[in-house]
Amino acid sequence: MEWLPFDLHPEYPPEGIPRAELQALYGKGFHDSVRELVEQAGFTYNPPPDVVPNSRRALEATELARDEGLHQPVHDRLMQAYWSEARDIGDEATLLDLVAEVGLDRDNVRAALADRRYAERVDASTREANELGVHAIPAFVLGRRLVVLGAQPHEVFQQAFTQLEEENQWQPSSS
Amino acid sequence: MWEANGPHEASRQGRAVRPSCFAVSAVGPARRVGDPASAGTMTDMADHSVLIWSDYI
Repeated sequence: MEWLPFDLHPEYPPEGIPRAELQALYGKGFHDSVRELVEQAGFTYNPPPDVVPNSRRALEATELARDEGLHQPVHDRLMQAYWSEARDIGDEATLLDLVAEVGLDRDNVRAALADRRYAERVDASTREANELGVHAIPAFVLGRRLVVLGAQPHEVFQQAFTQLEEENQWQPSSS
Repeated sequence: MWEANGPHEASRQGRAVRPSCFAVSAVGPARRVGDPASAGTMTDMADHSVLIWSDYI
């Protein structure tokens, strides 16, 4: 299983946008339904109340982590920080604190962000997803054959895996 | 679940703003992930059976 970066909102300013702006567009009911889904899954729903961050630097720092064999802990730490601990992962100082907690060198991350070392990788990944028709996330590509867009119920994935098995396309990896 | 330029773009176009809801869809044969057309990209990794594109927000 491999996580790939997708820059969902490149149009956001570096400081992010007010959460109230997003809530006004989606409506409160949408956020309540997301909260319900998250809590049903056993997680704490507590994103930053005032801001929706620009995630670009977080995505680029995660690619550095990938190269250093730390993708999973960094990815998990940033997800937890944003969704459950109300941390603004778009704020560089906050981001550096978080990735340093799980083993990345703060100065190296700061330098990589400054010289945009991983910008092209994030762009290329997002472009490739777009070319596959991915415009919503999370987006799953199963067995290099089927795309599942969005957070779907178990039944959808079961259907997809069944379809792949029937087509002899599904070859589970050990990861 | 989250659309690129979701509420902003949908609002600009006058469309209803709502969460995305998609069924399983096949990638067209010409654009299968891992085909030569995508060689050299991040998804050119034959040993990965599940790829997940995601953002944090």
